[in-house]
Amino acid sequence: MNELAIQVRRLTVAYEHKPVLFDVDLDVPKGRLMAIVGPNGAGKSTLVKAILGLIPRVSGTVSVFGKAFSGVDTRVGYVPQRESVDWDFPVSALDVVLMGSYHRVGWFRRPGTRERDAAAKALDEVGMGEFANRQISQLSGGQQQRVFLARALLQQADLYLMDEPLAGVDAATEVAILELLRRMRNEGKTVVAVHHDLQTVADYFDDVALVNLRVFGVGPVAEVMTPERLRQTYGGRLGALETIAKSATGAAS
Amino acid sequence: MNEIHLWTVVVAATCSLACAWVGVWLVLQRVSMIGDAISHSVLPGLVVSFLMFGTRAPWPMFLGAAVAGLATTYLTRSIASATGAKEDSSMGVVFTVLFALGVLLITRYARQIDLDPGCVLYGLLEFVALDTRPILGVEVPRALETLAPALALTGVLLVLFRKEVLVMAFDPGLARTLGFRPTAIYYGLMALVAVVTVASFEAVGSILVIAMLIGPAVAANLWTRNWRTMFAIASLVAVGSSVAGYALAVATNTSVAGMMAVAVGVACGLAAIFSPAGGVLQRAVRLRASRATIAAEDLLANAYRDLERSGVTSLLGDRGLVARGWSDGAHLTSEGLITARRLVSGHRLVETFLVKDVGRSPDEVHESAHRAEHLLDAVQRAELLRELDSPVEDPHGSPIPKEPSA
Repeated sequence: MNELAIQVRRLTVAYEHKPVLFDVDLDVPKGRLMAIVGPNGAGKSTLVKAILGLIPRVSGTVSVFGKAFSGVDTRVGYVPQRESVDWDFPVSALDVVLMGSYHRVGWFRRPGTRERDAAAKALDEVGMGEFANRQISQLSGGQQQRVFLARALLQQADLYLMDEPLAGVDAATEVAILELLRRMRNEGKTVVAVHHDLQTVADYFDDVALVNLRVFGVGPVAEVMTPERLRQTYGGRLGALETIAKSATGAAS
Repeated sequence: MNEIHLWTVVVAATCSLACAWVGVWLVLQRVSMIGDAISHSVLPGLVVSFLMFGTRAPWPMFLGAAVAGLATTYLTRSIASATGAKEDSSMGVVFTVLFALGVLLITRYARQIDLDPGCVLYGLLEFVALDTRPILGVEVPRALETLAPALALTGVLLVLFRKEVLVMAFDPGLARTLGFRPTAIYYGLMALVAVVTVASFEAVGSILVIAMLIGPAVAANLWTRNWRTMFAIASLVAVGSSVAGYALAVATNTSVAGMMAVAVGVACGLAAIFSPAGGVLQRAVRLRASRATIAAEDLLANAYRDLERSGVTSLLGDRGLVARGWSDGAHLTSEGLITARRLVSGHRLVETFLVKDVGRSPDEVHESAHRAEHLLDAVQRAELLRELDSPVEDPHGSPIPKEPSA
């Protein structure tokens, strides 16, 4: 078996005494593209944030590339949900992307020509080169998401955790983003993305983790997306789920 | 220029600048009112530092203020998270209690501190130029001994930590994962707010402090969509309103601090009206322009329909000729004809889409199509055309004009 990018053991997270994640184990192998799926309020974003140390864990451990992880490691990049920031903030697309270089710039210094060139190149890679100087509130939702991804590229991390990178983007952007994620994976990077659309999991991702308070299965999509497991994760609504499970296992075989 | 006038304006501008610079970050993080809270809650910090060090020298005072500012921020946050109360309610409780504590400390231990209500509200800007002390042979107002270091400290810190503060303000989650400490940076900023507030207090009082913290930043935020430019504009407003406020106060023989606050308010008002980035005036002009466009487009589309009824359009359109002899004698130029076709085509495509793909009845789609026709661009019309398998007629049986292929 491949070396692990992330290893989560017995992780429990609670908001005001109510557990959101309970006793969760999760292994993410290196160099894979993994989706975290589950119903609304299942704790998908919470899982990502808890791995990153952005919210306190009640118990459990997280290790990244074999070392205990406290939330800070330059090899780990985070792409938050688009709604998590104020898009009226008076910064340009390039300013936002440049933030992905801040940890390499060093105290008291500003990003220089090298960082600016790299940021412009990252914007080009996500097809946003011509919007570099656009103020971010004047971008569409899909374009904002691409700016976030360009920033992640500039971070040059080995492991990326992304919170709904495909939420609310148009079809063209979805394809472009997915292509980018695959390219990152092909370059040996590990990408874990919270994903909301069960229909596309099989087409888009290598691995999947089914999450709803607990983890109901982790591994290659075809092995994990069984009707039984989906029923456990999503409850009721079996009919629709069976179809999805069939197409998922069928697509992979 | 009279030396007293000059020094008063210098003191006012120094204070306004320091306030404006920290204020930009408060406004950008949408925590403006914490400036109000801190300007009150620094009082116990000042009293304690006075009791401990027995002096009103700047640095011990800054220390007391910074500690009080940190306490305000910390208590506000932890009370909110521990009780589930909103941060603004928690802040309201914290700063009033701390302020009251300061008053109690004064009455109990430091009666000799002079606490004149007028001075607290409006400051003593009128008199700062009279209380001077020679520095290198020049009589310099004592107030600058506090204000100049505060301004320098603010400038140096905000320049040194600009990227750290920026990433903390915009995206604390990213800041955290990059290894910056957003919480520590936030607290540092609040301590700086406390220092600036205290330094400005004596000269301008608590009302102007808040006006100067928030006003220039708000005006700048209305005016530009670039954070670097915001600092330049906020600085301009700060200095400008110091000069203008002082001149007006002298002319009308009223409170300088009061006039400065009014000047800042006027600057915000002007920015709201004339801002090139979404000011009232600009929006009104745009609205008028788009109304005019829509009216013109409606006229064109109707002209086209008239021509269509008289049966001459295909001929005219395909040859790209000028359409003459329209019923009342008006003309459609070839350019007008192209635009009109584009509009009518968009309108009928939307109707077709709504009936075929959305399942609405042909009788109820006109209004929606009428609105949509002004918004569709060429790409969207092409997509609709493809999506609908290039229909020839709309649901009412009218032909969908082909668009001239660019």
